[in-house]
Amino acid sequence: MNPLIRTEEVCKTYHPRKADATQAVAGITMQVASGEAVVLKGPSGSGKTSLLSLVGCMTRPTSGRVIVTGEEVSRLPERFLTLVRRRTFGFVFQQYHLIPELSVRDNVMLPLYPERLSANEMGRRVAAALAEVELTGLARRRVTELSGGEQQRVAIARALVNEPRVLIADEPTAHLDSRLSTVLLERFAALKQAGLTLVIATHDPQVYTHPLVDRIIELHDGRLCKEGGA
Amino acid sequence: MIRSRAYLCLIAVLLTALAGLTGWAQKTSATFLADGLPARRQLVSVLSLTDLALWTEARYTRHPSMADLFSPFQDHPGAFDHFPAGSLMAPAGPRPETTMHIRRVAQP
Amino acid sequence: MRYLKILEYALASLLRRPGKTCAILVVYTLMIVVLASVLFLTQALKTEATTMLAGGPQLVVQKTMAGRHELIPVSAVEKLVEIPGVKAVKPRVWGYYYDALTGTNYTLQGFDTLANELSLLNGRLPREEGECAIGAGVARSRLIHLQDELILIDYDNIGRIFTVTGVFVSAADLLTQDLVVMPEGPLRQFFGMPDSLATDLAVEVYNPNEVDTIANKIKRSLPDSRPITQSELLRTYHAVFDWRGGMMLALFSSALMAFCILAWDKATGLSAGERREIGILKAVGWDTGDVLLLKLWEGLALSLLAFLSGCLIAFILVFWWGTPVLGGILRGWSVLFPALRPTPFIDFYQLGTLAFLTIIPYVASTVIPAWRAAVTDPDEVMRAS
Repeated sequence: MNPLIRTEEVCKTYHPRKADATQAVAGITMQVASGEAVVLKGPSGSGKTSLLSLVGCMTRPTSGRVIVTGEEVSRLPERFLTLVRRRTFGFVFQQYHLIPELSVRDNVMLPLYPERLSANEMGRRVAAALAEVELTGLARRRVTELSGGEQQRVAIARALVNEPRVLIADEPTAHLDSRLSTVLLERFAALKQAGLTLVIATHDPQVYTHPLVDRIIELHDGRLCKEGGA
Repeated sequence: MIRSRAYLCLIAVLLTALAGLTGWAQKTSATFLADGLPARRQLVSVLSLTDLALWTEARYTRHPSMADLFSPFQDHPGAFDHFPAGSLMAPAGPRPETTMHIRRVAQP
Repeated sequence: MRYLKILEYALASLLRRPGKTCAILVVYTLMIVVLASVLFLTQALKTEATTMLAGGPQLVVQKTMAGRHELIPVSAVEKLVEIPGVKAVKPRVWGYYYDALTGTNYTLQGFDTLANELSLLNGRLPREEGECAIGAGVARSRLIHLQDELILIDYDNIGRIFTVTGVFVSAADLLTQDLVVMPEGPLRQFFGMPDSLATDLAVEVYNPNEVDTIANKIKRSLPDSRPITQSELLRTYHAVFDWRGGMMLALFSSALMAFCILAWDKATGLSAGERREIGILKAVGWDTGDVLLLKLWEGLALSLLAFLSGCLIAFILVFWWGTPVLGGILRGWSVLFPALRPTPFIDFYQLGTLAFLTIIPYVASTVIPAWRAAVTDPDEVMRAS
């Protein structure tokens, strides 16, 4: 089967040629199949987030290749890289990264502005995404008025609004208690059921022991140290 | 898209208002040129006026075109003692259109 | 469509910081109001002055003596009439009068009694000794009306009584507000000016194109004279109201400086919040181009609004409300003030220049700093926060 995402000997060094140069990812080869749920596991500082950035076309590798849907993206011009990022991936960040002064609805709408969509279509998609995370009633509220769990649901709605093929989540349970974590994982399981590919970075046992996870990739110091089924 | 529509409407209203005022200005100035100006020209010509009665505080502000800027020790129009009208009145500068060729008269 | 949608977001983004946006809008609009008022007022006065004064003498000949302006002998008229191309020469008698009672300067102007009646005069022109016509400003300052008496002190310190036979309408204030008009003879007596002298000579020529040649000839025939052609006179008014001159420039530069400081402040510091926002936008799939378009709209939305409303306010202030603040600055500290209700002549080229000089720097100062944040990878921007 042709993998949806593949990395080949991918490396990422931040601030190269400077005194504080740090190699976050040091030659990782891995792949993610369509419809799979993969967990990147490892202690903090092991390069999970950097690998997510590389896989999600947020940044370019220092060396190596990243292939998404059969296309090598690491050398694409910025506009096309952005297009791949927008059409293929949805991101749920650890800090949620919502724009605080905007309403829930406006935050969820953000990825749709650059697309060629009518205002009605935008509204429809936002409503659908909010319904998906059961936030329809809060659409007009400011995100700062919401609880942490609700903010995360806004972030998930924003990730889903562009109908991506892959959902990338960075430490999704870091700010949730175990009850909310369970609810979140149920939601992820439902999304996977619907055909979404999941790539989750975490060091929370509750996540990587969950039945939805197909495969765990363990990282240490930017290197792949163990790969196997859940 | 409510905000952008409202904004564009506001801009359109402002542009229309400006266009309306500009139209009014064109009409008023045309009326002035057609009706008001002849009477004023007649006044200027009968009284043989040369200047506007806009500043009455000093000779060179009352009659800037007649001012004897050539004379030594004439107050400079940029001087502060006639601020602020004095400072509005940038000196026109000696730019005579009439020039003079001076020749030494041959001794008889 | 994409442009409209990004405008929508730009407006939402501006409204997120209502205090800051309002403050910038108010300062920006105020600057445009000041600059546009000066432009409107000076342009209108300039056009009005030059069109009206074109009806005046084509050439004025003054006499100079010992580096000073002097009275000119009336006998010079004969010399001038002989110059080919000269149609007529008329001695002008006029002078100044300081009215100690009100602290006002009047201009006393003699005229030829053969003249017709004037449509801008209530009443009639004076015909004989003891009569005068006055400007509306004089009437206001002395609290007198038609048929009242005006008392002026002559050169010999004797109070003379003049009956006001006419008052110029205030629509002609720009020309007549400080005038006291009387026939030439009585004015000579009042000033104690001998009949053989005049203040200056007004020369009429057959062909206006020859004015400069004739001025040259006058200068040859009367070496101690100073001919002033009408084009020089009109050019003086151009210079006086020139928007690059004097007060205008001072106002303009200070306003522009303040504005530059504002722009500089914006340009040098993109706040952490704004930087983070750009990172988020890029992360959720905005292109660098989209981010720059957003910033362009933010700048343009604000500047367009400020520019248009500023121009509108300036227009209303200058042409309808008689320039309440600026007029005071423009008119100076003299006692008589003409009502400033200029005819609205508008120069679109100047307005275009004003738009160019204010909108472009502002928009640039919004877009350029965002550029630096927009071209870096989104994950780097977000890592920093």
